[in-house]
Amino acid sequence: MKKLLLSAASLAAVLLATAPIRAETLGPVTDPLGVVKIAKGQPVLIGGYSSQSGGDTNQGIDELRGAEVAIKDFGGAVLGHPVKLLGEDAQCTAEGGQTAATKLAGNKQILAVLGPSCSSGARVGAPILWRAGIPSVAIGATAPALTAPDRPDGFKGFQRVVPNDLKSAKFTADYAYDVLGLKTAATIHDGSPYTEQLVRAFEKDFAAKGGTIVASEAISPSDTDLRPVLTRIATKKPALIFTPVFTSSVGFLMRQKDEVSGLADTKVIGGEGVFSANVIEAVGPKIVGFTIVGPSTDLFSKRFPDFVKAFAAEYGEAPIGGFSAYGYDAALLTLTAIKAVGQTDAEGNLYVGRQALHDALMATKGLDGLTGTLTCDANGDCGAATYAIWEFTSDDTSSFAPGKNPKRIYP
Amino acid sequence: MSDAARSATEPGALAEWLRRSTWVDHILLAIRIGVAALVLVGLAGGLTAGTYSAADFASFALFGLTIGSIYALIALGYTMVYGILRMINFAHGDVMMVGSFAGLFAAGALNDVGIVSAWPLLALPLVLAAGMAAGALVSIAIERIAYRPFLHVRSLAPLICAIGMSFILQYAARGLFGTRNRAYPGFGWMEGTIGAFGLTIPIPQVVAFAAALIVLAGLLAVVKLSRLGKAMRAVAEDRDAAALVGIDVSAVIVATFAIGGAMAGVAGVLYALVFKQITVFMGFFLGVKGFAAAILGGIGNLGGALLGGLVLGLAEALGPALILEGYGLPAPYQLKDVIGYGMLVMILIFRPQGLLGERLAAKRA
Amino acid sequence: MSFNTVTSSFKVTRRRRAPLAEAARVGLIAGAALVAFALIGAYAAMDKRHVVEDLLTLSQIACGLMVFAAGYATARDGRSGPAAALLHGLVAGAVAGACLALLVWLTVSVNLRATLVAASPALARALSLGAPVASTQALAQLPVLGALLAGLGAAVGLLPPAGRHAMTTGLGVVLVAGLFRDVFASMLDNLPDFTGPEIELFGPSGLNPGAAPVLFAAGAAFSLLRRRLTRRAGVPRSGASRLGSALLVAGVLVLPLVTNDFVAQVAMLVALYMLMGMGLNIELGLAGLVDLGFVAFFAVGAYTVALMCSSGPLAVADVSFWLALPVAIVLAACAGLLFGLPVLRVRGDYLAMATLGLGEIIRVLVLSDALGPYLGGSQGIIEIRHPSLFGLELKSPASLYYLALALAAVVAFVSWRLQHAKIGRAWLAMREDEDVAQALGIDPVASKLLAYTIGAAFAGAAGAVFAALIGSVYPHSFQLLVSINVLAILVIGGLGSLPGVLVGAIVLIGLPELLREFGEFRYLFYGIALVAMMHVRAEGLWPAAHARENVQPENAHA
Repeated sequence: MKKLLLSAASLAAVLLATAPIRAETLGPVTDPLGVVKIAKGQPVLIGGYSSQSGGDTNQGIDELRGAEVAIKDFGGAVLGHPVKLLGEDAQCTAEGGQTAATKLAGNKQILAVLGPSCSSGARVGAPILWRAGIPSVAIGATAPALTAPDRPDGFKGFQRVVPNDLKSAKFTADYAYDVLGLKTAATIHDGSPYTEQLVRAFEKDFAAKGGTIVASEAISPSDTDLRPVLTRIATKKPALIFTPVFTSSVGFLMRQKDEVSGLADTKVIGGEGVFSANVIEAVGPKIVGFTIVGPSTDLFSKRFPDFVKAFAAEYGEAPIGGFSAYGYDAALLTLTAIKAVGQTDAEGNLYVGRQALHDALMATKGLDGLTGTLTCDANGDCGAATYAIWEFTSDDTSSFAPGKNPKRIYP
Repeated sequence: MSDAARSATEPGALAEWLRRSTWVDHILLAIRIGVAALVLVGLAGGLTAGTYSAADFASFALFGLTIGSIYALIALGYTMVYGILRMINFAHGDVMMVGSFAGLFAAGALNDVGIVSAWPLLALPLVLAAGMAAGALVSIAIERIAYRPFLHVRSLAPLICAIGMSFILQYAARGLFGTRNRAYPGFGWMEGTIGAFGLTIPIPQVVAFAAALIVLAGLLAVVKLSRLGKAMRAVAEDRDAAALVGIDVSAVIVATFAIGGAMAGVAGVLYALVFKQITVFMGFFLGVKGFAAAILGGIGNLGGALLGGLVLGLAEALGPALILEGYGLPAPYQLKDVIGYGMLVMILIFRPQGLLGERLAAKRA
Repeated sequence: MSFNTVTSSFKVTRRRRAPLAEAARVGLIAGAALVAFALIGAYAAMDKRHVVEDLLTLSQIACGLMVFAAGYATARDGRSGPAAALLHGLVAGAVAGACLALLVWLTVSVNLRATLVAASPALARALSLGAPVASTQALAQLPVLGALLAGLGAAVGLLPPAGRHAMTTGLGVVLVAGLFRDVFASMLDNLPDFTGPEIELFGPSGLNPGAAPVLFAAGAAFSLLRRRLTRRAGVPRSGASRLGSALLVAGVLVLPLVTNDFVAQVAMLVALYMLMGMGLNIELGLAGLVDLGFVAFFAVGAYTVALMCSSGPLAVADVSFWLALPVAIVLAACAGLLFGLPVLRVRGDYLAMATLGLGEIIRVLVLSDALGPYLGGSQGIIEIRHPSLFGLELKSPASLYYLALALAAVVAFVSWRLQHAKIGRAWLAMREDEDVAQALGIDPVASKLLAYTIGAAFAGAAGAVFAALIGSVYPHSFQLLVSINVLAILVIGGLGSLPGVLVGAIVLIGLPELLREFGEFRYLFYGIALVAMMHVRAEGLWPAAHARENVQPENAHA
């Protein structure tokens, strides 16, 4: 038994030591990372991984649905081949991201992968995909380290259309301190890596400008009574509460804020995780005057309502999380790059070089996306990263239309 | 104990305890002392820190009583079923969620036909009735699927089945109703506040508190006065003996589940009226809190469930401010669940019969 | 506390209706199941996965199976002749199909979506099966299809046992091949010089249409052949089961070698849960302690390795995994001892809730800002070094699978020895009746504490491997759900049974990972599986020897 185990282990070592990636020439294409051949009539496969089960499900499902809408808008096909999105569940955990990425990496026909939703999954998943020569375009993973200049080689194939936390935190701190002239702030995060990181970045920027962080609090996403924690914040008398928590927590927070004495004049700024129609329903009448940080461009204001309409027609409800638009952009970016580098031979077979695809993705410049104009920098940050402050103007749930409700108030 | 022993002074009793106690008792005592010291030091620190004014503490207490009355409503349904069957209905929190959604749809329908605007006072009882009916139906289904087949088998099966039912309810509801947060309607008259003791209290919170008392009274009346209640107590005492004297045990158990489910429905609707938004996943952790409240008060004891709920709510609202603040911990309210679950664990270890003791039946086997 | 002790038999008797009414009832039940399947959104979601390329999707197969089963059930009623039984099958199928047609009609003509989000145009389109949406043709074809499928089911049900078995085996082979396409395709992929058949057998997501009938015929032929062979040779059952065990062991050992990284990754998760399962098996299966806070020990093991083998800023040391592993095990055992001391006086369901509370306390503490400077809070601990063996870094899923498997083997050996030692018998005695055990001179606190500590140590080992495997730990990975998963593994596999742990882990961890199409419905099917299991086979899929003796006769008459 032991012998068998040992020999099996050594066999495994030998088998697994062989590098899967090598230069290859297929049809008209030669590529250092290998070439994918898609026979005539066969679909172009794009992978996707996001949180399909567990606590962050809303966000994850909406992201891949946003990508599906983009594929549809693209005509459902690229270079004459139908496009198929293979969605996997990454559960917003490291092990979920690892399993999903391993599965996608095992499918040699997959050209690129969209996702994941969470930085923990991206940290483990992106290197696995890149080892197989598959670039990934993240939708919701915002941790700054993932696109830092000194990121490890495994992340060279990683890009994201969602801007990284540092940028939105900086914008929010500038707006609060310079534009509104607020000098004291409190923050609330919900124990998720995304909200905590964003809040910490904001605290740093705000303090650097000369502001004071008077309270930095945390809640749990399952909390329903936030009045005690708000009372604690009220004793510190902040002029602003910055809290990028998600829809249901924002609902409780805004509804209960006025029940706590001393917070009536405190301004609340939320994150783009609640850029959706659902937050209007969750918050109710108190939504009027609530401001959030969100994508800025005119493109976004113009195209987003149509996107919501198409989304609701397909799936029965409007997007719940604020990240579905990034799903759309990730798919758009990928399809555009495939279209640029794919070569068709006389029989109608499609060939795509992996390195070429990666280079095309990284070279994306001035692409008109849903959240703005997408341009990738050398480290894989492709998001438009221009922000605006949006203010909700009505509590009618059917009135959600960026531009009117919420209205862009700055810049 | 002889007179001589009784006349012995404290050290004698101590020596007696030392002789009789085992090493486990010593460690338990050490844990008691440790926890007590931790709480006292924190309390002293929290009170001297002076972060909060008396008005703040009054607000904390009010908030604690609000969420506490919701816990109490959940705990009442829990304790009914546990008291009779000695089984944790793991899916109780999800029954509450179903009741809440049923109330939401009923309110939508009532709004469409104009009853809400025409007779606003009538809307609440109708919505409550819808929630209760849905809760009772789902609860009966759970009994039929997860408990009845295993009634005569002492095994883990009902617990596992109930865990399974909890998953089924959550994810079926998610598929059917979607995952978005649903806003709960108010009924005009419920939007206002009333002033008392210098505090302004929203009306739904008063309604929730009153409802907890009314439900308790109603349940007590059923258990103590009605024929069904008598049968329930008999079944709780000894199922086989109850069957021997001609009680239809199955029917009593079904009735117990139905009542427990209806109580969950009430809790679901009132929860939604107070906190104004619901999702399909809200049930599970509220259910666990409700169970903690039931144990805190003494499981099977209806009055205890109410007390347990209020105590748990108060501890969660006041605990971080009073105790954790004393240690200067950052973000103390993130740790409020530590206080809640800590109380659950401590009660189970040191006073498993709860604050008021078990009722409805003799001590469990 | 004892398990599966039948105190009295309980039998649900149902009034039997006339055969035709019974058929209609079965049809209605199947129809309700179909409608529920569609309304929870499963139909539309699974319609994207082709089990047979361009011909049959997963949702069509699921619905077809439900209707087929309805027809089969009516025919097996056995009260009427073949012709009547066939007719009843047709009726049941038509009724079921009509329910679905009604749903399609309602979806299109009434707006149900304010309440039921899945009743969308997409659903109506998918259910119209290519015909114009909700046209008369689309609505009429559903009952007809249903009747045909259920008639087929009834026909199969009427066949003699050999034929029935052959048909179901053939169907099963096609289904398994289509559903687990990835496993088989990767196996074929690895066969040297024999890459041809993959192209013919499998398409990008399922079986090729041409391959399905071939596989069906092969499965049916195999079944018939095997039936004939076993009848002639009369192979004794124990021999067959020994052969089965040998095949299982061989399969477990070579699995990652003949498949791909993904299957190896799934196998590794299974091995990891086996480690935890064996830990809980000592607590629950042997000593009868219900523990819902088991994940806390797993977290202790994982965080120990994370803190000791990382180059990150929070690390306290940067040593080899092999040094950290024993430390993790010892620390987890200490945590078990510390928790166990107070908690173990609590009994039964109370213990379940007390441990649940303790597990949640640990999770909240690890996540908290208060301990953030030491444990990383929600950002976790990253850049944990992979273990290395003889200079070879264990990094690929397959090599980590063997690491987890080797540890699992050690743990299995230890559990097996413990189970058959004096302490094992003491645990069993205590599980059956604590008071009697105490009267027999067993110290309940000491032996419970030992069970709790050893179980915690095993979980700590699992946590250590987990940290090494993922390379980073986050509090998100230590949810209550993990404890419940492990509990369910034991229950599904069979309490107190070591092979049961393996079977349970394969069924509950392996299959859902391989069938990722279930994605968002994973926990729904998981719940259904738990409930169904308790009803159909409460002693587990591979019950422990003593449980088998106790339960089997009871089951025979229950």
